[in-house]
Amino acid sequence: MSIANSTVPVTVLTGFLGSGKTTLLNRILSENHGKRIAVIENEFGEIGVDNDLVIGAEEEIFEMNNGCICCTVRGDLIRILGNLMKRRDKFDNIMIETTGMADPGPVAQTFFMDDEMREALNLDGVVTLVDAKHVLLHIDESDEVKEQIAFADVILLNKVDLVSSDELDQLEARIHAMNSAAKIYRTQDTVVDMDNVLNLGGFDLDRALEVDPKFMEPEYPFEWSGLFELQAGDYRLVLKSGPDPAMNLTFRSAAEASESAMRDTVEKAVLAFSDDEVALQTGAVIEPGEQLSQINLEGEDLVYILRVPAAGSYVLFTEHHPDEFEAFVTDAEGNRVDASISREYKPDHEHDEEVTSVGINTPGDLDLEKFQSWLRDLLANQGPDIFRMKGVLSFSGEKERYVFQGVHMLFDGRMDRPWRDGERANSLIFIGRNLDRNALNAGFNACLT
Amino acid sequence: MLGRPKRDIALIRQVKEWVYDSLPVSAEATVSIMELECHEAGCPPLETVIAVMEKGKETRQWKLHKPMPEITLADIVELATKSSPPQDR
Repeated sequence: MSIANSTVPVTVLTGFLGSGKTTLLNRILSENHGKRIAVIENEFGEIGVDNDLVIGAEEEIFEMNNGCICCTVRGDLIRILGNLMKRRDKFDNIMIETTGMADPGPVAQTFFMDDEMREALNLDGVVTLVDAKHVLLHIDESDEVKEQIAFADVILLNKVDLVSSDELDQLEARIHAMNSAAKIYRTQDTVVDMDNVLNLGGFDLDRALEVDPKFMEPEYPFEWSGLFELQAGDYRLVLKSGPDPAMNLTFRSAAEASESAMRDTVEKAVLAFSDDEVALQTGAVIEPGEQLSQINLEGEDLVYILRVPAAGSYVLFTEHHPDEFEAFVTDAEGNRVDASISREYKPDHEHDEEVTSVGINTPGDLDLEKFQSWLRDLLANQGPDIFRMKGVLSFSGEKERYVFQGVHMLFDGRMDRPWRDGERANSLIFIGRNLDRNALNAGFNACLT
Repeated sequence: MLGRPKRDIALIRQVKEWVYDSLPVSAEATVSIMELECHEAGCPPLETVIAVMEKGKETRQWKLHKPMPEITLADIVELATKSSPPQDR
């Protein structure tokens, strides 16, 4: 492909004031990494490198609303990049620095909205610098910090020398709960391998999957399920007080004592966990069914009665792991009854963070019209809260993978390459604010043929 | 298929140039062009939105109910005869 026809990878650099953006930019401009990089810096930039490919920008943000699409874009970037592309032979990559308080949305949307930008450039990645020492002062109340983390493909957790490793672990877990698709690097003075910052292929979901193979694994509102083979009669669920004052659980019948039978009950259990809970005190009776019970866990000698109407297999789903409460089941005579099959689930972080990631990983083929209609409605209604989405989809009758990514209400996609044997599946991730995991899963599943 | 069609960059730049030359747009303004899928009854499947952004002013938008490759200089000149952009939000 000739230079004239190839798209230029663009990296967007975000991060709060003092997080190390200028240090990183100076390193990128002065280190010998073999790439010629044009930099568009914000007007208060302090880059100390003399370079005619460093251009100041004024962050002119414009709102567009034409009925179908509402978005905010950076008008100055369209102008500057349009001019820069006339010197296309002078550089290999473009890096755009935003001001510390900037929401990365308008910059990212610019590459999806304007057709010239869409054809000439590709948003390779959003790199967010986080000041490991000071971010906790802002993360709860600053929408900008949350959005900078949510938009990132790569997060540089900088100034790690100023905090303890325990604090770093906690911060990293928190960031991961917000954006589970981003790769996190711990840095001091922004020292990082340039290959981890430039040419990321932010759109490349295969690479995102390499980052964390678990990020597509669904998250569940429960941490444990156990299948019990029980006779008709009353059983006792015995617990001690633990780290939480109460816990949700659901108790339901299964077709038989097998792993697949337990798996078949998972979807209904997820639905039950989205219902209002019924608060129960010690001694209460729990019968198999759709009810979501919230059992009180304060006090000594906590016992709840599991009432079994007929001999068979029953599954207990618990919000927390039973070990946290030293929980076990006995028959009426006090003989302990263990689950014949049990499973632990990846915990759902949704209750902790307003900004979260929802991954969907489902086999099967999609009906194009149904999917288009669902996505259109989803973006029209929830676009402002969806910061990023990316995915690989399998459409019915298509031999090739469809890959796409989007920002708020805008998205772009293309056929990628033929599916390999046994590979067909749908993987997508949404990162956003107040995402409804169950509704996204149900909406997506309804588009399958 | 989902997503907007690929277009030749030269074609997009040509339409942008016509906008600068024919519409009341200053050289400092940013002109942006975007093809959109339209799902309203009676609309063609693809329409072209022309947005003009100028510092300190509200974004002005015009819509042409045709895909970008069908747009001619005459279409842009005709837009100029309208005193203000159509308010079809």
